[in-house]
Amino acid sequence: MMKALTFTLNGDQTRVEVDPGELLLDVLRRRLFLTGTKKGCGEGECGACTVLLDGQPVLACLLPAMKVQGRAVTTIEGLGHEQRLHPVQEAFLEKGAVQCGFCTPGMVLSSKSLLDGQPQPSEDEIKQALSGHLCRCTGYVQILEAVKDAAEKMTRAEGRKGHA
Amino acid sequence: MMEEYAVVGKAFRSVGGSDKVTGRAQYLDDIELPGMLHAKILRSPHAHARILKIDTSKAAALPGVKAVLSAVDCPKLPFGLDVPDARIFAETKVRYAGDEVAAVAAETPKIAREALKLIDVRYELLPALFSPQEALQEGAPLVHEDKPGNLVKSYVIERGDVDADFAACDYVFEEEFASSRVTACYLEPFGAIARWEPDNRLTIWTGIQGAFQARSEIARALGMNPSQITVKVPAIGGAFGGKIWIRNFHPIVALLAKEARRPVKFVLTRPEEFAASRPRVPAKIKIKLGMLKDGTLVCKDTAIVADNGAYSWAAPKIVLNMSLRTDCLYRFKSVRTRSYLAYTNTTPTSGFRGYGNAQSHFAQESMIDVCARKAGLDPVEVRLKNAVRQGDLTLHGWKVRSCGLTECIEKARAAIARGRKPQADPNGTVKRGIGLACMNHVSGNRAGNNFDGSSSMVRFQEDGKLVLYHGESDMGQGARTVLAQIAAETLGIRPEDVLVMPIDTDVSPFCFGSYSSRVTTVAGKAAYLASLQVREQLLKLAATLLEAAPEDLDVREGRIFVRGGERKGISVADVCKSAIRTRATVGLTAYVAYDPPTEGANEDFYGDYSSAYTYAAQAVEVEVNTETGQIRVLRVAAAHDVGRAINPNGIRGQIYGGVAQGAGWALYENMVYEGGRLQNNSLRNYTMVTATDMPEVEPIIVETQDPVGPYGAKGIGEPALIPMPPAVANAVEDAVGVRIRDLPITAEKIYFSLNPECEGPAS
Repeated sequence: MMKALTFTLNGDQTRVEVDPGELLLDVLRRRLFLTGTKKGCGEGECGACTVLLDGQPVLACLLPAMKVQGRAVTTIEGLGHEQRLHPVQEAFLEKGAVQCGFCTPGMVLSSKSLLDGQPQPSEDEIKQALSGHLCRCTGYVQILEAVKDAAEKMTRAEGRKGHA
Repeated sequence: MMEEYAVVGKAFRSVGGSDKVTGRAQYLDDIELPGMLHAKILRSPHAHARILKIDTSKAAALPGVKAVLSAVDCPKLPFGLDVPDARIFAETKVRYAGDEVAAVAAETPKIAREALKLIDVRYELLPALFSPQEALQEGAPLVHEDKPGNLVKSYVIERGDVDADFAACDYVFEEEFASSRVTACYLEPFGAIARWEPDNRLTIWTGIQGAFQARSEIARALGMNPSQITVKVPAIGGAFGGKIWIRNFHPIVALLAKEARRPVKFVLTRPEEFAASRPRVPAKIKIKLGMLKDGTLVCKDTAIVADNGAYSWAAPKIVLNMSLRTDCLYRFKSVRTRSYLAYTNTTPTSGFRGYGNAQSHFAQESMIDVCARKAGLDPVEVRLKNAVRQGDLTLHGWKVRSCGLTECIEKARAAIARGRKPQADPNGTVKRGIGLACMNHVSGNRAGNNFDGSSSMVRFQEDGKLVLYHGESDMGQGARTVLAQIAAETLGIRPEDVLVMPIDTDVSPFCFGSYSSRVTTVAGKAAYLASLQVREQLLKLAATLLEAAPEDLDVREGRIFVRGGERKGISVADVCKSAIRTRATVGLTAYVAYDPPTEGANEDFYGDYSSAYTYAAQAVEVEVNTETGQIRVLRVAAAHDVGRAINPNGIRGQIYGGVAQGAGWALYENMVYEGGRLQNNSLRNYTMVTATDMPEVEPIIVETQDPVGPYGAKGIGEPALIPMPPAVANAVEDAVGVRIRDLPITAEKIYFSLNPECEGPAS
């Protein structure tokens, strides 16, 4: 028996028929064709499938899709596009934080969530926020640099807005 | 002073980066084809067993199942590399827990999984071999009946008179080192999609490092001609050597698609990645080293026993690297190496960043410290005294055209000495130490007399954009970025105006692939030479338009002008417009096949086989908790001779990533088997470095301007991993006086070494 799932996806009201036991990751990738959310392990260990649920990072490979009923999900596709990147995406490019890119969508979303709640995180706070994300390419250094850079730029932009 | 360039050496955003940060990059599993089926593979649960019966009838009858295959349905053509012993499916027996027994293609992955459970396989267990030492013993059971003694390959390589030289040494030391089984563990699981086309042609999508080698290997397994097959390479989510060669699933997915008459996708699950991918070749390496009182390294005698696993892939070549390369790091007078590679009933081993060179560096670079300490010498001074230098011809015939090894050692030593933490905390529990290790590697590696080059095609479009076709995969290391920079620099255009095309073997120029840290050096050189030819065509046509002599013209930032009279000029785009689909009939296209100026090694493995050897020294500071044995790598100073930095951001990325993988191997990564079955087949219990354990890293770029590489560049893909395990081992001894000779250097090993009165684990 398929069930109707209604939720806000990247700002849009979305309705999709799903199997009751279906995981959010499969619904996003297979039914809604949002393949930016990646499957690295399927066991909640690598963090590549991270999406934001009401602004907080969750692992889409473990979460039954029906759990997002009536809630708001943000995937990497909802964050920015080529002409208007989110400052975190901008910073990842600027600092060379992207190699193979497979962990990138999850890393970017967790970073965004961190900066939304804590605009000026310490290095340890950034590391903690990203400790559930495995990256096999970068050794994390440029990713941490990117998050710091994005934090500074977002804080400065916020300051300018305040004076306007 | 080195020449300044407009694009080379400048920070530049990675090609394809914006697709990756926005989630648009298309990896294999993101591709959906109409009517596509999903495949699953049934694997052996046993390390060694005779197959008595395979009954697939129930699986075939399950609704939604469209194809079921086992060995009886497939060509029985051997495939593989030096020792082709692989078959598509296990035929009469299974040789490791993970061996392919049967496969299913079904409408959904779930149905395919259900179908696997319905396949009835009866086995008769056979005695299994789990180590090469057991396998090489007389009377050991055979993994392959036609491979007597379980020997895959052996090498004896000797230069000079080792025995006479030992007799003349002041000191002779002997030690044995062992390296563990580790896996590349790229984040994107490996897989393939197959679709049959009209004319009996086959298209395979797969995120592989060497598309053309994949094409010929798949053709060999299927009994086809390579030109009947198209290999297309989507975005690759990391590879590190683990995706150089095809796996059994490549021919399997092709045959399933043929049987089902529909496209079929197969992606490894993470547990399959662990159990059935190709780990690094583990080896026991015994070194006898002779030296003089003043620290001169004279001679070395090495014995290697390495584990090939159940089928042979790149392990023979990897053991050859293990047997040679470190001999060329210092100016040894004589060396001898005897190596044995044996079959076992374990997962077949193959390539992973370092390709054998990492294992032998752990042994040799640990050994240098052990010997120097015993002789009362400073290990770093011993390295400086013996380091190879530019202009050397090494004892294996390498021509050292550029070499910054001594500069790397000096810079890494100085950097780690700055800001050192106290050697012990006041309470005495925590101790700290520093250690250094060197490495040499290659930028391309000619096997015998084979081609070792790369090809490139560049072509201007009518709007002035340049299209660059190549065949070397970008698995994240930044191949496309470096190629775009080289083409842009050579043609005087902006890198943003270079479109680096994806790989498709019907269209891409012939290449070998991304391994041996070769792409910047050989593919970069091919792109450089092709760009140079097109530049000539461009300037010739521009000269006509500007009524000037071509030799008086220059091109910068997309504008061609008369040298000295900068105001008279024309844009590259305008020249392209007047060349393409006009009566000028200028192609503005060039195809260059480049082969580097090396002769390759002869039958005795003597000869120059890479046009650019790379050198590095990495120094680390570690902290050891003497109560628990816990080790933390605090800082790393990584000095690398890269010839010339084309993309400094990319080089830093390679250094950080290599350090992370090397530190993980040094401290925790280890595949643990019990009765031939992998116990830690999950990211939960196979421990890798996370953001919180990453040490502070200072990358130090040393530029030696290689005479052959494009703009002087050499490779940096593998080097940063290689010196990490010995550097950590050396630092641990410096901190607590304990020498660990087998990887990984776990807290447990430290604890029991520090507390010899406690009974250690019964291993």
